Amino acid sequence: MNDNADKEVLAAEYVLGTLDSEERAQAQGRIAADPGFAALVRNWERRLGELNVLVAPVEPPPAILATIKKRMASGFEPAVDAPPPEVALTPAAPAEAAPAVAAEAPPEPPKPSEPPTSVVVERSVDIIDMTRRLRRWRGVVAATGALAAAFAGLVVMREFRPDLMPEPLKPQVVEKIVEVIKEIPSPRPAQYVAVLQRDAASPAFLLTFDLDRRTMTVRTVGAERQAGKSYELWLVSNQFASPRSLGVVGNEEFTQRPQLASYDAVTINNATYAVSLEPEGGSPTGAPTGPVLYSGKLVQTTPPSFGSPSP
Amino acid sequence: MPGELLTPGELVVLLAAVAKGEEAAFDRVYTATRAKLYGVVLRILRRADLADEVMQDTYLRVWRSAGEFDPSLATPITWMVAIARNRALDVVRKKREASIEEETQAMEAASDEPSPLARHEMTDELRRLLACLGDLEEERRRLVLLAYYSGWSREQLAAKFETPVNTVKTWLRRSLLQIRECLGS
Repeated sequence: MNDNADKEVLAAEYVLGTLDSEERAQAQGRIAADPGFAALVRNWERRLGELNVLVAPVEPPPAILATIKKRMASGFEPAVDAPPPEVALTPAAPAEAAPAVAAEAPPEPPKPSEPPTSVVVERSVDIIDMTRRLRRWRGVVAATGALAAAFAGLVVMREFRPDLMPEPLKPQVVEKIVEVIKEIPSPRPAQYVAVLQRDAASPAFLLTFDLDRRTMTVRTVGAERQAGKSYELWLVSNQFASPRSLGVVGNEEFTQRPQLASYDAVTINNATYAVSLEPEGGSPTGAPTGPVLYSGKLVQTTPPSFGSPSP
Repeated sequence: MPGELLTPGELVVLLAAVAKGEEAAFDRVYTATRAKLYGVVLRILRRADLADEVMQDTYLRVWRSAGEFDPSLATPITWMVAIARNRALDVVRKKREASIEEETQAMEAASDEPSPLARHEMTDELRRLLACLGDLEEERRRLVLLAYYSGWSREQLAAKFETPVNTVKTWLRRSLLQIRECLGS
């Protein structure tokens, strides 16, 4: 399968929103690292963005603006420091601003998020619900069918082509990315990503940051293991006279670590992250002793920037 | 109270003022765009508390990054919708283990598809996009629209269309490449 088409589809699916959390984080890393890919994403945002015209406006609760102003005034703190949902849930929202969909909530009380173990126990309940959902789904199909019919009134519909039936799966770029992921350490999407690389074509490590929890995940993308050596990650900041070690990168494809806890958000945001090659187990001196092989800066990946030049 | 209606040209000028830190310009941008953006994120998130949070993040981003807006690449509303949708999608993907209740809600919300506008209300770009979507097989068109408007993942789409995830991937791939081909730009 053609690489350009893979890249195009990845960009399109990113914009469409069908990627899962980890794939989104990967795509965001790529937007930061690859201007060509970023341009594809921008183009899809422009193409599909037109669909917003058909979305009915809904007045937001008036209290939102005050909160935005407060956050504007309090400096440029990262968006992830948003107040917890409980705060946003206060009844400041007037009845008419409540989402229409909330009124459609099923009568059953919503369950708190269940531990995974209970899923198995409730399997039979799921099956019963599935049949009910299926019935509802038919209603949805009818409704979306009506939408399609409405579109048919607007556009010239051509004959559908039966030869477009799906074929067995072919290799796609998304799958290549999934292959790298053996384990998903966190269901949370990355807000900030740093791609550590030597040149634009060869990312070696992908750092994803969760500033809420001051943790980061190091993903080994292209760096090869070297016998008797370890990769060590450093935080380089003008706040400090020398690089601060963030520890040795593990041999797993994912290394999750909380070392960022002692740094403030501004430092984390502005630092350069670098990886050096050290003796096995890490630098014996506490400072980099080997060559710095890869480096990169943090990029806020949500939402992507429109600022980079078009190809 | 409905927001003040502004033309794309007026919004471009206002965003330039926002980039210089003019709060009055920001207020006007907010007033003109808040209901559209809230409508977009609410469809995807289906929870007022999450939608509120995403609205805050979106407008903070607009405040901080208005200087990055390039009118040659997007209209102001398309740019802002992209910011809002991206944030909403990041949030909604975090909650990937949707409960039965949430999925039911999702389906009910999906039945409330946006209503088409009169021809004269559409931009040329939208008309061309709709024509291209009209070329897709009906099921795939539905797939693309549900993904865009409701923010459904491939897994959710597969469950709803009762088809393997791999088939959804193939459908998406072909549909998206076909759309690009059809739009020609």
